[in-house]
Parts: sequence; structure tokens; C-alpha cells
Amino acid sequence: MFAEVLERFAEGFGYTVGLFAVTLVAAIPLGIIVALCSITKFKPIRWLTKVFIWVVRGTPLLLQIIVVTFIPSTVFLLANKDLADFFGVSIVGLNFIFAAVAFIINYSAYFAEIFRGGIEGIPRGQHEAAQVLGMKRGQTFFRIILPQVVKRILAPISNEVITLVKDTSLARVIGVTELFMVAYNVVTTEAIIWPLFFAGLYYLLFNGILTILFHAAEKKLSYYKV
Amino acid sequence: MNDEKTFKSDREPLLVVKDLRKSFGETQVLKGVSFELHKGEVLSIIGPSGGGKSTLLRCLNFLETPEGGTIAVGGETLFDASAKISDKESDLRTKRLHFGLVFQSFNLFPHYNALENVALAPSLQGGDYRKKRREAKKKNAALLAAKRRQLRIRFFARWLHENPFKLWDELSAELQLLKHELGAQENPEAAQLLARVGLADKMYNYPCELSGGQQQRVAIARALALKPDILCFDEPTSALDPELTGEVLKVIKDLKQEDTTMIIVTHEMEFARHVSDKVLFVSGGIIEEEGSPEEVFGSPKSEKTRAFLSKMEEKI
Repeated sequence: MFAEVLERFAEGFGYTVGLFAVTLVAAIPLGIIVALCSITKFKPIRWLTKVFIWVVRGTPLLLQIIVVTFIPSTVFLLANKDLADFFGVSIVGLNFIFAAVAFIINYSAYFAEIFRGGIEGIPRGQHEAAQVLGMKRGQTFFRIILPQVVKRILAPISNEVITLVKDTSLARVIGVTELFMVAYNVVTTEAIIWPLFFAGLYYLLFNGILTILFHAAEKKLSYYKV
Repeated sequence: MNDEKTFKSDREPLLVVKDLRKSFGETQVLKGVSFELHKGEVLSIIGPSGGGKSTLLRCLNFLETPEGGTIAVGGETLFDASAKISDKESDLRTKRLHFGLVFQSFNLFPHYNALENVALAPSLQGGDYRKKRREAKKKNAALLAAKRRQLRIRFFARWLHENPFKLWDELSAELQLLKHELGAQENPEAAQLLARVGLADKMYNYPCELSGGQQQRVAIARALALKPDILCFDEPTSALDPELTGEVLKVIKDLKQEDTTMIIVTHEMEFARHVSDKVLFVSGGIIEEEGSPEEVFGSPKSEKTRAFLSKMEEKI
């Protein structure tokens, strides 16, 4: 029984980690872009971005996952089957893509707010020093501002990342067979309860590793004080 | 000596500022400021807080855009409020390079060490400096790779016999040392500038590891790295503990010996008196009085100047 559960968990955990990794890799750069849009001097873009962040942060992620899933069929009148064929994936794979899109949008909004706080927290003097030294705007951002932002936002980002690990379990609502769904299926079909707690252990260990990694990153960046 | 001075003022002035005006909202901070500065001269700007001294410097460095007046350096008009002069970012950048600015609060980049702070801006300017630096880097990359290989071998030979974490730290420190050595080789100009301000032994320290006076000296080296025509100081010693002001003022004095053209906003009256060729007393957005230090400090004509100077003396 245990061996069978382990085997099924391995597949489920694969989806969990996959969803986590895809979201992280895409949502961080997207978050930077959204953050820059939310502090741009061009008002319409700033306004639109604020609305975007308000909507995304103001509604449940669960709802967003479902909305993303229904958009192709209701708005663009595309059957999920055709879409799956187009991407060359199975229906489960397509659901994974839907979930990933919803997660990326949701987390980019949260990351954007963290980045915005970090960018606005850099003293004006840093911008001015870079300006006086004749640096271009891009150079100022990437060489002066961003490295300092990274150090400042590491703690709030680690919070968000750990939440993301646990949030991946929401993807089961559209049938992504991630870890929690697998565990729940075992529980309902085999009439045993321990796989649920066992799944909890997976999340706990995963987050433990992430905590250690973030701690190491913090230590690595501790060579200077802001 | 006297002849030299007349010769200096006979030449075209390096900097000509005419009728500079600037307001923030309703308050007029600069109400038409005009002055000239010759190459190699040191100009001190004194006056009460809120009188417009810092704003004047910030206008010269294009951190603020004046509403009126002109700024010309070496005969080239950099700013003219009445004519539409290009305010494109790239043009602004080249204009800025005529001036260097040392801030009251240093504003060093905390995530770079002293050497990197000085070397960064020139390396981003491109051109010759960048090319030389890239070539040096390429040469050193091979050296570094060889060192890394050697350290890796040493790590794996010993990591079972002693504390691997300690060993790792030890070996990374050794690599760091080599990196530092090569860093100075790659940026000889920056290393030289730091030596000039007396910080040859602090090149690899981060700003948070330096005292205020040392930080300010790094900031001066950083401003010099771009070889500005005119170096501006915005109250360079105001954020320092009294015992640290001396080392910064000494660097400025040394710069005067080398005929650097400087504009210094300062509250150090004694210093201003000794180092400057010309003093402006700015109050209420206008130049109340200007002249040689002997004139302004010795026999001030304006009532306001006299009141300000006696107030400053009371403090001592």
C-alpha cells in the first residue's frame, strides 16, 4: 500500500513542483514589468495597472483559475479538445496550462506590489547619484536600483513563495492531478486517512528546503547594508 | 601671484550663469542668480539655510530644471530657458558630465565596494575605457579560472579530513583576495583616484564598513572619475562628525592645488575663507554679496551678510 501511495505521490508531486516552478519563473519578471507600469509617469497605464492589481488581489485565486479555464470556450468559442490538440497536450496537460496561467497572473500582481514597495523604498539620492554620473535609465535601474531592491524584498518574497507552494493545491479544482488531489483520491477510494497527512509532510519538507535556500540567499546578500 | 590672477580673469570664463530662476510651487527659490567662474578657480557659496544654495547646485547639475536663465560652460550654452534646447535624455546626460556633484549624504552605492563605486560610471560610458577594461577582464578571466580549478582540487582533497564549511570559507576568502588584486588591475584609474584621496587600503571595503569621512572621500573620487570640468560640493561635511571633517576638507584643498575648478556650498566659514578665490553670499534666492574672501569675510558691504557672519561667529 505504502509503495503504491509513494508511486502515485511522485506523479502528483511532479505536477505540484512543475506548477510552482513555472509560476515562479514567469511571475517574477512579469511582476517587475507590472511594478514598473504601476509607477510609470504615463497615467492611463498606471491607472490600468492599479485596476488590474486591485481585481487580481481582490478576488479568490480559486475563482481566477475557473475563469481562466472557461475563457477559451466562452469568449473565443474554442473547444478545449481543439485547444489541447493545438498545443499537443492531453486534457490534463491543458488544465495544467490553464492553472499555470491563472497562477502566473495572480502571483505577478502580488509580486508587483512587493517590487513596487522595494523600488519606491530606494532613497532618491541613489537615483540622483546615478544621474549625476551620467548613467542611462536602464543602467541606473539594473546596476543601482534592482540589486538593492532584491535585498530589501527577499523576506516578503519568501513569504509569497511559501504561500505559492501551498496554493498549488487549488489547481485540483480544474482537475490538475497535483499532490493534494492524488492524496485525496487515495483517501476516498481506499478509505484510509494517513495519505492526507503524508501529503502534508511533502509540503512541509518542500517549504523547509525553500526556507533554507532563502536563508542562504539572505546571508549571501548580507555583505552590505542598505 | 597678482599677475597670474589678472591673467586668469582676462580669459574667457569657464562657467557663465545668467539670471537663473527656479520656484517650487508658489515659493521662488532662485530669483535671478548670475555669476561667472574661471578655470582653476574655487567658488564658495555661503548663506543661511533655505536661501537657495543647494538648489543652485542642483540646477547646475540638471537635477532641477530652472524656469529662467542660461547656463554656459566653455562657451557652449547648455541650458537656455527662453530657447527651446533639446531636453532629450541622452543630451541631458552629456551636458551633466561637465559637472560633478558630491552630495551631503554621500549617496554611495551600498552594494558596490569603494573601487567599484568609482569605476562603475566610467565603465558604463563606453568608449576607450570600456574597451581597455574588457581586455584586462578577458586576460584575468583565465587567471581566475585556473585559481578556481586549483581551489576545487584542494577542497576535494581535504574536505573529508577537516570541517568542510570552514574549509570552504577559507578557500573562498583566498579567491576573493585574487579577485581584489585583479580588480585594481582592471580599473587602474579608479585605484589611482582612491589612492589620491588616501584610501588605497580601503579599496575593497563596502560603504557600510567605512567611516563618514572615508565614504565622502570615496564619493569625491567617484565624482572625479568622469573628469568633470567643474566639481560641485553640496555641504560635503555637514553630515560628518566634527572630527571627520578635516580629512574631507584636506582632500578638497589638495584638489585646489591641482587647479581643479570647484563650486563649494558650505557652512565651514574658516575653510571657505582659506580655500576659495571667490565667495558668493546667497540669501533669499539672490546673490546678496560677491567678491574675494577678503572682501566678503573682511569687510562685508551688505547688512544681511554682516548679520549672517556674526551669527556664525557666535556659534564658535
